[in-house]
Amino acid sequence: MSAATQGPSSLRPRLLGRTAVNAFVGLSVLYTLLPVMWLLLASTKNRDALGRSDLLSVSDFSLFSNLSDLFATEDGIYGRWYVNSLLYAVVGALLGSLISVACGYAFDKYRFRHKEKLFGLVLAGVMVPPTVLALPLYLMASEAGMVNTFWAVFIPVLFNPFGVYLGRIFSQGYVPNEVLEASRVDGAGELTTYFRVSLRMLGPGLVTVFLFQLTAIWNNFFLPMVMLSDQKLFPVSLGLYVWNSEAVTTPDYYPVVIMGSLLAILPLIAAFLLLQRYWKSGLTAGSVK
Amino acid sequence: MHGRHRRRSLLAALAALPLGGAAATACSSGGGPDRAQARGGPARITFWSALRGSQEVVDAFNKSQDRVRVDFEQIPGGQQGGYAKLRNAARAGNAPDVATVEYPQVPGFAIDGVLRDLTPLISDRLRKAVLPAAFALTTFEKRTYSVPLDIEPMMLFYRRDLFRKHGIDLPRTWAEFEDAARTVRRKAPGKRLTTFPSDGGSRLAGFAWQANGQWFDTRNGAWEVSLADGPTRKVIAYWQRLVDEDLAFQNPIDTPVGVAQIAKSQVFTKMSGAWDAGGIMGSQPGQKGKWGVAPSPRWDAGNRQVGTHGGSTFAITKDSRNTEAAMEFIEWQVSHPDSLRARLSSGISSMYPAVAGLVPVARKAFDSGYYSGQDIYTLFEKEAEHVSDQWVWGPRMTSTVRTIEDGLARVEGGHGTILGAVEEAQRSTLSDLKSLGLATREG
Amino acid sequence: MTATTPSTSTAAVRDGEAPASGPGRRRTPRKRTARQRELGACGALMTPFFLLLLTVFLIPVGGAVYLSFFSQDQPGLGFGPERTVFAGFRSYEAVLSDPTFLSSLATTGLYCLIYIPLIAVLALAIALLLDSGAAKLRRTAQLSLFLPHAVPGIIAAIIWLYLYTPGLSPVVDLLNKGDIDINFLGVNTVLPSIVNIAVWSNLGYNVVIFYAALQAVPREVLEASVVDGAGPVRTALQVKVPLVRPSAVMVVMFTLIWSLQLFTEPMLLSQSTRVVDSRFTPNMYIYDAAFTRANYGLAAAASVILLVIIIALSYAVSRWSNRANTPEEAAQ
Repeated sequence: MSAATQGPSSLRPRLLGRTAVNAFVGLSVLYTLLPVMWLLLASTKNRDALGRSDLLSVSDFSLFSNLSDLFATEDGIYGRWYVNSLLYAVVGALLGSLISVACGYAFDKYRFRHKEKLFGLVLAGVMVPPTVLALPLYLMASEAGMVNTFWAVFIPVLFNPFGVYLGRIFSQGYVPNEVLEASRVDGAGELTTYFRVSLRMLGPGLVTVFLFQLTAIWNNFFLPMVMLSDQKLFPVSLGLYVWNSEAVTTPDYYPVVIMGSLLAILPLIAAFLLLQRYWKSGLTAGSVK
Repeated sequence: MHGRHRRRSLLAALAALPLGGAAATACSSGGGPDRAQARGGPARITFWSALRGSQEVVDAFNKSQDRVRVDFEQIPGGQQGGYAKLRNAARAGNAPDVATVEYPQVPGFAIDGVLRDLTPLISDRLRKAVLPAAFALTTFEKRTYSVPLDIEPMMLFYRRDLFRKHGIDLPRTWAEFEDAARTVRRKAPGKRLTTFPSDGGSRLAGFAWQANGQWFDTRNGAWEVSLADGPTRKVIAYWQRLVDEDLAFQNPIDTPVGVAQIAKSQVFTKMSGAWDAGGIMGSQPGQKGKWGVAPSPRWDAGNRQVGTHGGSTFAITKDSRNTEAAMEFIEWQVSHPDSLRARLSSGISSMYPAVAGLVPVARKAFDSGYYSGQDIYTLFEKEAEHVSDQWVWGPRMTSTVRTIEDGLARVEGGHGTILGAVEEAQRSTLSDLKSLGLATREG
Repeated sequence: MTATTPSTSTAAVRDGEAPASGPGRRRTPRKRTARQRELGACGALMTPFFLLLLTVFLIPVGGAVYLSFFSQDQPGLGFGPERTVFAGFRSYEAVLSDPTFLSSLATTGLYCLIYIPLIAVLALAIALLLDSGAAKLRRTAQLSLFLPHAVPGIIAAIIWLYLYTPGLSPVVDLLNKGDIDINFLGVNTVLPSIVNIAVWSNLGYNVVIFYAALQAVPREVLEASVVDGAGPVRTALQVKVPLVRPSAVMVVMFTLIWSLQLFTEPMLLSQSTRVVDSRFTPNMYIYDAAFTRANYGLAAAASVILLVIIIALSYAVSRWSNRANTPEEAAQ
């Protein structure tokens, strides 16, 4: 992010304008940050203190008892949900991004008949909302006896057509054609070249696709809701949904849901902060065609 | 959990396989399945229910004989939980042998092929023991799809103490009920005689039932849907007036809000099926001795007819491999005194059994101290005789009721009318049934 | 097709040449092997993805269309044995005559009308301010704005639900102290409340897109505008905004596609307010049709209708943007 690029000096607004601009931006930042801050503060409150809404008081600091409550509720099933989410999201995104980037790379580096038509099909996959597919997927899975299994969620989330699109762009940008030629002259096999040379160059792009897919899978709610009825297979999102419905009648669940929500956003926030430059490149590659 | 169940039922199915074949032939020849079972040990069947006390009933049954072993799984109650689970299992081909299905859901599961036609399995003894009005609700085109456990006439639960305090007589007709509502409104600020339940789609059905409404009719070989028929309009106009003139609260009642209203003595009455005598005892322990039970108000004093609210049945699913053993368990469950005793031992219940012979058992088991010693079972018995038998539940009752309640929630928020909510449910239900390929007619 | 040219270019396989089984097969062994190796590699790299495309995209789409036209029917009351029949447009007629589906469409339409202009204008405005040079701490601001994007939709909905709930929410509390009594989950307020959750989640994401596009605007263009005597506001509106039109189209299009799929937020809110009913949006209708009503034909028809609406609207947006672009390009 080039924070240093200033507009031409004559474009700089006057002091009043500058204050207004900063106030507006500041307000929007507050708007986006405060709810997360609330979640953070609320996670330190027990049920009674939550109701009193004096969020800044430290008199009853219950972060740790909330944490232990979270992992004690319903025999600690939250831990299981968390592991499930990690499996669905991390393994799914890893595998999914490898599959998509490989396909995007092939679209970039090889020529074959009907290539652009086939690519159009991939783009159609970007446009078609996954929720429309959920019902037929459910019926298929139920024919195959796979409803309410790990695979019923894991396999569909691997599909990432946007990753193919990004993969093609990154392949154009990161893998010079000369490298391939050189490799071929050396007599290396096509796949060997891909795995030994190209994939390494595609690294940053791969991370971007991985990051996007990780977010999408971690966010996924509709598909698990349709496919899963066994709570032990739930990802965090679905588990918190169920607990929140409990909280409506049993307010004891509020601190647990709040604590569970906080823990559930940590991995993504960490991933974004650590891998900042990758999401930026994905966003701009996706938007500026 | 699910995986384990699947394995278990698969094992059960395998174990029962030769047996199931024997049973199928035994069906026609009338031979006993006992012979076949003697060779392979006890028959194992699976049973799902959301009813409380089911585990106790299953334990008692398993102890009472050694021909059939029942494996029980408690499933969540309510539309989202249990029924979705049952439907999923049926799709996957591993539904339990026996499942609890409430009356309104019976035709839907029957049409979807989840429930078996039990007609050839039901013994004459059982056929005679169960109230005909109850069997009528689970029988379509002369085929019976489930066996009723209880039948729950709609009762008026009222606060004796508050009635006395404000000099209100027990209303016998709806006109008197309305007068009483005016009295309460006048004499007791901030309080009301009753609440019009915006979560009360099934109560509204019970009211319509009493007034001779006929939401669904199958007599002409098609589903005739008329949720907003004349009698129902009469009922709706009545409640709309009570709400408009602020004579009744309007909010959900089977929620913390509704329970709190009663706890704070803001409402004087509650209309529910007979089972709710136990429900009120459980949710309002502090109001012991303050409640009484009375017959539901009538439309005219000469006509004793009532509707029902609640009630469960037991069905055998298409995936059952051992229907004879399943039926043996069901028959024991609904008609054996030990079954009722076991169910009541798990906690307070005031269900009114569909097998009349069990009423003395229930009366004896129920501690009527909460109702100041009132003989509520004799009252239930009288009311159950007046449950009118013209009523038919529709094939997508869950969603019909849900649509009505969605509309009622908007009415509560100040948008639309009760009639509008019911009319929307009428159109939506018709769309539903038509797209299922059923013969339909708009009533 | 120039089969004799050794494949030294990156275009290893020439345009128009068929995959492995094509005419290339009868060429000399050496060349065939090279080309086939490339095609084989290409196939190997693409196969996993296209297997997924087939199983979790093409077959389900086909399945939805099939289900919407064919049905397991039983004659009469429906208690007899089932048989599969061609149902024609029966399910479509049923969906379109169902008042609850139509009202779910109306709700979503209203949601789009509020949400899409709001987020597009807000995001563009913030991006312009960040780009104006007057804003400080741009990097931090962008990061903070982007943060909610890392919060899963269901959790964003939970946070805001609690911020809307009296007794939990400091916001409601504060408003009450100021004698303002708002029910955020009332009949008229619930839709704006859902819009707010969506704005919160997606604002930063769109700001980043716009900001990146603005950064790509050539400085000479801006300086030319200054030379013409335009102030910062006029430069922003008359020079920058038209130049980021492609990004705006993208933002509107993707926001539209996602808005029509609205599910998570209202589904969560429906646990707390009955004003959000079980068929509040088309997707909730589909879920309800399939899993509460076990009416797969109805659900499939509703899915196809939703899909057609999404495709039609996306097409309309891109057509509209193309047409809007053309005269301008002609003028340049």
